[in-house]
Amino acid sequence: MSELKGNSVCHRHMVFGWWSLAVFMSLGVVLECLHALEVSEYLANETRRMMWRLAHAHGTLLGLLNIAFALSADRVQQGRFKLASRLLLVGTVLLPGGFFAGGVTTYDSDPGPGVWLVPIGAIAALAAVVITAFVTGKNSSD
Amino acid sequence: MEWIIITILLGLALFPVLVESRRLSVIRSTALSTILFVSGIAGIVTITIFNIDQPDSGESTVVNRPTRVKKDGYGRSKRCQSCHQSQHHSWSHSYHSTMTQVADEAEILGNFDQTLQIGEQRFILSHDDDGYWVELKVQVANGFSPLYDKCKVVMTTGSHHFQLYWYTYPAQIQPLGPKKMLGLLPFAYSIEEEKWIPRSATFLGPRHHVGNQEISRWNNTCIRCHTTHPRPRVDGIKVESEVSDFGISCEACHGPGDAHIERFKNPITRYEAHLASENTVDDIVNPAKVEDHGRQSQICGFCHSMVSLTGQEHHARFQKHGTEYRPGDDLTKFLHLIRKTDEKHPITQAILKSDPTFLEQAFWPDGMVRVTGREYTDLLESACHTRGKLTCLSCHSMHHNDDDVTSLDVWKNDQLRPELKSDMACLQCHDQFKEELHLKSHTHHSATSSGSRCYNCHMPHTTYGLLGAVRSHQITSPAVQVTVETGRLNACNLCHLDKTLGWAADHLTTWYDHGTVDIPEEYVGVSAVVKQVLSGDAAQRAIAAWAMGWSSAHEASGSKWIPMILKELLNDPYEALQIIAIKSFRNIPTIASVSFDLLNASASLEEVTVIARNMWNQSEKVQESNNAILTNPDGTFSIEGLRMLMEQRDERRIILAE
Repeated sequence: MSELKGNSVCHRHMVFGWWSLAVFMSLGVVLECLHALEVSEYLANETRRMMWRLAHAHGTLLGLLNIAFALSADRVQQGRFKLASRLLLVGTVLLPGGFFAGGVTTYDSDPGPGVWLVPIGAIAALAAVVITAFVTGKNSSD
Repeated sequence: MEWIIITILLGLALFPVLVESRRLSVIRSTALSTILFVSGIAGIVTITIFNIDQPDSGESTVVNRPTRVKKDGYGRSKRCQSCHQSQHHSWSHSYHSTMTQVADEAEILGNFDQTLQIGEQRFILSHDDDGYWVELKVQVANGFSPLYDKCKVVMTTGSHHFQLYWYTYPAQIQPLGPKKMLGLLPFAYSIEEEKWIPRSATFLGPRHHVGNQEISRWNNTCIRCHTTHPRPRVDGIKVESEVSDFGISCEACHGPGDAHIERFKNPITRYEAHLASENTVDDIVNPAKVEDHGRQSQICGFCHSMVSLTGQEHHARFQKHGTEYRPGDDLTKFLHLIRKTDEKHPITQAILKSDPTFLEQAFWPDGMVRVTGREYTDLLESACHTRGKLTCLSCHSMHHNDDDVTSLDVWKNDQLRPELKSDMACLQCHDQFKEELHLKSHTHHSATSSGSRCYNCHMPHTTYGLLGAVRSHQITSPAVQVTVETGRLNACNLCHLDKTLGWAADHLTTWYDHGTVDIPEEYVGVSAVVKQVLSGDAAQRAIAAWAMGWSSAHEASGSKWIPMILKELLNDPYEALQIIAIKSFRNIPTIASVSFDLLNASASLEEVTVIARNMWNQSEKVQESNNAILTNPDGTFSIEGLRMLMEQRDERRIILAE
């Protein structure tokens, strides 16, 4: 852990990952409460339910991905991960955030305009994963 | 436009990867680019395939029933579902959606493991893995086929009160082309009673002794209102009926959806519309936003009215291509609205030439409709509509609101807007009666009494329908003079079953300054309802008999005295009236325990008479009513009074077909 602290990219993702888990697992608890209390504003709006469930699921998984990224980045040269790191952070904010924002206002089956952030976040996260895969492979072959 | 977005997004995704890949070997870079390019193309192809309108699978090969064919911009309701899930969900629970169903796709409610009989005719019902069947002697031009044919049940009508079954007319009788001419099993399955009832008993009409199979009735008549964008295409025995969808689906009220769907496939167009401060261009009609309240109501009036096609030429076009009317148009340009108050109209006169009693049967003498399903015609005679802005949507909603606490199963019975099954329907405009004091001073009843409910006085049950009485949709005020002139029971007497017309007239004069009414001799000294249930014509008897089973009337008038009078209808020549009497008996404590045979009502007469006599002796109304309910001076029941009223019965032939 002390080595991770010394690596600023790794440290950033480790902290960001755990906080992401904390936030989006809390969202999961809130959603369970909305079910328990039969809150119609949530349950009766199928689009909102789907958006917020997706925010919870993606936020939690991306939190884990950030922790995995921190552990992977620690083993290779820091500079190669800078682009991937930035893209992953963008994805972790925009993807679940876009889903959540899309559920705040809904139009029948269409989510609110916040959902437009989702594809940007998804592409950023996907690009981060692909770059990491290549860089990790190149590092191994080096 | 969506392809531009996809391309941009793919580019955004590829850019950081390709920049990084320049550092990799050329081979690896090429492999990566190739994989990503192929994946992108595969993605686009997949999306394209899913966006192409798929034709309705299977319908093009169907030859034994009318088919669903996309035409004139109309299609099936399922294409609306993806964007309008909530609306589609509540619509699919409504009885509109299941008005017409393909038998193979429908929930068949009737028991098909039995044989039914009308007179000498037998109908052998069965079902197997291939579907539902009826073996019968089909109706032909000069009677009935000598041999039995086994016909496949291909379509159903209804899912609320009754379900009817249509069979494919046999091949030897339909030799030309597709076998799309349908015949009707002359029995309806009563969902409430869980019993087969002869079709003739479900309408108010004299008893039939043969099973009319109403050949091609569906293709010629039912198709107009029980489907969406129908094209009858009946030419003699060549029948090629088509519809865009079975049942009354989305586009029946919203108009053709093709252009709307095409426009809003594009997500940018959708979000422009969502975020716009004003209404954006749309290619579909939202009835709630049709500004002209008359045209808004006409959307429902296309089916819920008494209409006739305007002339032979229009009829021929309708036969081939379906109606040219689109929601929001002026309906009167496409259909003639039949009103008794406009009986001199040439089209109405032409109808009267072929059916001289048509208006007399379908309307009360003052022009109020007396058979259900014609609510828009009623609305046209209402000041709330003609001088105000009342429309169908003032009270009804075709979609269940998400915030409506009424369950879907309850809502779908009458499709009322939230909380409008109450005085709120009228208080939207007449808000002065929100104050309890004003309400009481207006109604002269306690605020919680059923006599203070707006619709009990202003929309009384004076329309025949569904083996009972339903509320008139012509908004009126109670008036004894109208009862005298038309023979239609007024709201006061429909609740105060034990009271005379004179009693109602006195109260209306005292409370509302109604003028003096000359009460006809035959109504003097006898309850108006008792008079009509025994002496009225079949339509009057039906409404009076239904009122005798109405719980609100029992609160005002008691119920123990009723069976002694109502039992006479167990022998009524109209089967429908026997059934209405039985249904009313079931709402009266004690006598409700009798096990009635719906199709042999008179079998219960002896048992009912014994119970009715005992109940009569226990009724406190017997002494109070001053002979209005046929009480002798000693408190016994006046058989002589009953006989005299029965002898005055109006025997005119009544047929009220919904």
